[in-house]
Amino acid sequence: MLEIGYTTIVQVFNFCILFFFLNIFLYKPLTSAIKEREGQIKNTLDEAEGLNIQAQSLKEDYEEKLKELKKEAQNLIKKAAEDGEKVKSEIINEAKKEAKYLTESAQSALKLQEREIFQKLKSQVAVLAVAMAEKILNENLNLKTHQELVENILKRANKEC
Amino acid sequence: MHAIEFYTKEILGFKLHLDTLLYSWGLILFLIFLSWLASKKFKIIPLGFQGVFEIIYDYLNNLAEGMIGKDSKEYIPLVMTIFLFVLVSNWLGLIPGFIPPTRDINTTLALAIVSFLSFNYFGIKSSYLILAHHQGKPKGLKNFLIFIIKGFWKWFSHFFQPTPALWNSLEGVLKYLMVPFLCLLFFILNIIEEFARVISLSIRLMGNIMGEHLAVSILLGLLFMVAKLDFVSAVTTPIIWASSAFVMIIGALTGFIQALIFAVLTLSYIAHAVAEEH
Amino acid sequence: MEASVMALISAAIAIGLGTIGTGLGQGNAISKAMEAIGRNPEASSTIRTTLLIGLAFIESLCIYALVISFMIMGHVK
Repeated sequence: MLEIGYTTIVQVFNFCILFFFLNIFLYKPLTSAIKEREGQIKNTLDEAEGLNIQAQSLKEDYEEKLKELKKEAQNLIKKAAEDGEKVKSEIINEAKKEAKYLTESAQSALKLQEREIFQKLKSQVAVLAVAMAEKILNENLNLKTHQELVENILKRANKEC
Repeated sequence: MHAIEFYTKEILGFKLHLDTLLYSWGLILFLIFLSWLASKKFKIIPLGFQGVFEIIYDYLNNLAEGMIGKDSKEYIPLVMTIFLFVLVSNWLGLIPGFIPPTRDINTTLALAIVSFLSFNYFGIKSSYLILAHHQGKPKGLKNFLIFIIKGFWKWFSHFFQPTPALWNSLEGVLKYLMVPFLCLLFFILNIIEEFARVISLSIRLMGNIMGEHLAVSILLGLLFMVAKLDFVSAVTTPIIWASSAFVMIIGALTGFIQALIFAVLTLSYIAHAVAEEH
Repeated sequence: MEASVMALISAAIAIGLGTIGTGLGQGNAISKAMEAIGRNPEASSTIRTTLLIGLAFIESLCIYALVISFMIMGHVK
């Protein structure tokens, strides 16, 4: 049962063989793989940290830009509103002016026409009156008194107008 | 019964336990094949065998870092080889008909001797390294010889270990009278301790595996004894099956824990030998 | 009494006494470990590992007794 013999020496030898082969086949690839992975993980973490910092700065940039843009947009809206107001008042003023001008011109044209018509009427009235007076006075007056009469009438008419 | 008897044969005048040797050769081939299979396609992402090996490696490395410190990686291959060999050997005994090589005192003694040699080797190496670190590398033959003797003494003095502490606590003439006696006493005690380590390591593993293997083989032997078509065998057979299954489950746990203990003890002896020189 | 019979009895006594001590020791260890887990459930994994290793150490005493009893049995002819 406890028979210690040469088997022990052979087993020590066996163990050494196992150790040798496992060193080649297991531990060297294993340690290199672990080291490689550690390096990779470290690299990835560093990269991630760098990217994070970049992303942070980008975010801040964008936020600032966004703020500026908002301000600009508000300014633009304000400006646009002011411009609109201005344009509106200008348009209204112009329209008022035009309306005034139009009414004035219409009034003056009317007056002119009135005067023309009046003068035409006057001359026609004069002619008609002369004709009528001729017809009436043809039998009563001679040319000389006739002329004086007409002139008197005309003077009167002028005064009346 | 092959749990406590061996198939012994004389080869070239040497008496050898052929069954133990054959099974351990098979086991060694299996382990080498497995590691070759695993390492053939080692990747960054550990899958399959690589994952298993890495878990064991990490576990032992964590233990070693707790005991030794930063340069623990140097000792892991040896400890892990011991662990794998003992574990596979222990679990081999769970398959009915197979023989675990660790049931033989020769195998466990061989492992314990390897452990003994390794922790002494690492102790001497670390004492030389510390000496070289403190005073630089020696130049010339004479200095080299002095270096070798100094380093050896640095390692060898730990056999007298508690003597300096006692020397400081003693007073008067008694101090000088007691010293040779104390030196001798502690030297003998320390030497006994070193060999007790080997013996306890080997007998613990051997006894555990042999006892478990014996229990399984006795239970399975009972199965053949009751293999008849009557009422008694009809009742006892399931009981025997259940109890042998229970013993096997316990045996799987025991085998794992014994392998772990062998590895951890080797590691702690190495740690003791390495740390003593600081 | 013949020597072989005495050897058998001594082997039985050796393993019996060895198991008594080991059983007491293991029971004590397990009860303390359970108390510790009950008091501090977060450390249960550490305690379990330490317990298992400690149990194996205690069990090795029993194994020594077993080996001794086998050695005695080996002398029975």
